[in-house]
Amino acid sequence: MVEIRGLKKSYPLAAETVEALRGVSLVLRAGEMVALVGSSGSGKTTLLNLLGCLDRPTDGVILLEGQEVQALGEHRLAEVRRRQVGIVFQDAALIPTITALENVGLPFSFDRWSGERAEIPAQMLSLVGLADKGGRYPEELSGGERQRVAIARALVYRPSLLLADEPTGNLDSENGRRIFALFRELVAKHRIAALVATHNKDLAGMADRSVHLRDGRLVDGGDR
Amino acid sequence: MQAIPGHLRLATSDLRRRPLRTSLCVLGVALSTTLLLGTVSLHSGYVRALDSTIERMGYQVLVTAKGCPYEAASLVMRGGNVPMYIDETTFDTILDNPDVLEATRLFMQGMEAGDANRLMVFMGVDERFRSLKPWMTLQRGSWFSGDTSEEAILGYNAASILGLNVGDRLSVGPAHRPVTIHGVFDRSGTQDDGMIFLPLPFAQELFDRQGKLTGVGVRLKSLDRVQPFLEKMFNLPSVQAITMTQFRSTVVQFVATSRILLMLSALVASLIGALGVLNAMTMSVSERLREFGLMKAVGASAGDLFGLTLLETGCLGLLGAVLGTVMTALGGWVLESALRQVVPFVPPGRLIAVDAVSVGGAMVAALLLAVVAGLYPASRAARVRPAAILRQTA
Repeated sequence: MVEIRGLKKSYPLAAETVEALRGVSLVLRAGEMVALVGSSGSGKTTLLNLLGCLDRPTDGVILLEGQEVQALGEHRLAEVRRRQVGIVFQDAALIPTITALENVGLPFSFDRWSGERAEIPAQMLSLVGLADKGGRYPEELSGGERQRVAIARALVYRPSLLLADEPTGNLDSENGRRIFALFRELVAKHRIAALVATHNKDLAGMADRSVHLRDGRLVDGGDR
Repeated sequence: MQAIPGHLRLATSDLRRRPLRTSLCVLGVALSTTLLLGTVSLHSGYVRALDSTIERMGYQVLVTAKGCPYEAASLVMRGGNVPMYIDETTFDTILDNPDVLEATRLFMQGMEAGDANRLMVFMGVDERFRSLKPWMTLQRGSWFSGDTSEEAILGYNAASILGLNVGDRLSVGPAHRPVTIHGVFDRSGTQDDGMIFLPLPFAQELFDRQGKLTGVGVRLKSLDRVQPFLEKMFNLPSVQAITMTQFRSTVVQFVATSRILLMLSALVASLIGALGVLNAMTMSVSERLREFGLMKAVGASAGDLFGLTLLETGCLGLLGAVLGTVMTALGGWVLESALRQVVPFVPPGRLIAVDAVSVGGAMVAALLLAVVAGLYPASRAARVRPAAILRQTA
């Protein structure tokens, strides 16, 4: 389970301070997929950054499997990102100079004891339906396939939290629905808590519930 | 198929992505390595070749006509026209000296020979020459049949250049007198290989210098007797003596001066090579900030990214060092040619001796250079804030 309490984040911008998040509290349960909805500038990306341990909050608490992560040191935070959080970006963000299989195995590259996990990237690639495309480079894959590789990479460590920022933003509606369906299936199967930011209301409807962010505050976070 | 990319794979993948930039960068490091390794190897190779040449001269002291002793010694050693002569009677005086073990008369002239359109060196010698240089053995033919016989013995290279064998005829001297090739020496690895040897009296007559010598090579009974011998030579009119040790010391000093200049060039080249690495890696890191951010997002620490970038620069340095070593081994003659322009005497053969210690030193230097140049881009990669990734794609 993932829980955030009173999360605040402000950025200095020129002479003023921008308050991107103004006290957000939220609970994400294992196996639950939550759609994060909001207009541009509402604070979605900031919230995902903080949950993904890519940035530190100005105030508030983030509990990942009961552990407060906002005050961890850099090295420990990297380990949390590697082992407990999986992130999928809008444009897949694959490394172009390594194969699809290597992209999936990338998080293991930064772990000292990764040898015994050599089979997992292929298993994950198979899970997203790309078992036969592991040797291809990102430029040889379609947009949907690249996003599947990114999902496989996000799940390779079996994280407790999956974050996705507009994962279907660069895909056509059919591919977008397929990717979202895949998210749902994997989240339920592996009992992962997932928060998926999207502009698309139809896709948001496929989630277990939606939370609405406006001007750095959650304005609608009830169960569907 | 590799499922988990190792650090080396990650570090080198971008080098493969931009082959032109990588090649130019490696070339820069290679050039600086070449200069550095060449300069270091040149000194040890030169001194080794010089020592070998001096050892194979067969004598410790050279007596010549008064003038610049170093110029005379270098001319005698490399072969050429020495414009001043000593009287042949000096040779008998030298032989009478109780410190002298053996001595040989030397008469040297440079002139075109036969159809070869290049200057050849003629050396008039007597039997004593063979006593001083026992390693000068005949590969073919035999020694001169008499002191005035119109015969020649060719050095190993001279036979090859002129394309002549025992029994062939060759026109020599200002009057183009025909001589018979009576023998060919084995390869000695010295200047003697390129010379045409004639019986001394015949050579003096051929070049119209009867009773004259270019010099006298002297081997003493003991090296302790060098100084008294030099003092006696000093008292003789119109002659001077120089020891091969003095000659060696002076030439090595010349080389050391040239080496300082070359070393300065190598340092400048190294600086340029380092700036090349710094520039290429800074560009590379700037272009890949998203990739580094992504790596952090999937669990890489700042230390991982610092190490990856340093590994990448290390690969550039290592590639440059290997290429530079090959370039030094194959193209060292360029440095040698430069040296031949500025140093009064250059021994024959390869002057650049690339040994394991020099190669190891050059590798370490190139690696250090690359790693130091990579520190700034590596720290930049390590400081990437992964949050920027999500912000860019939001």
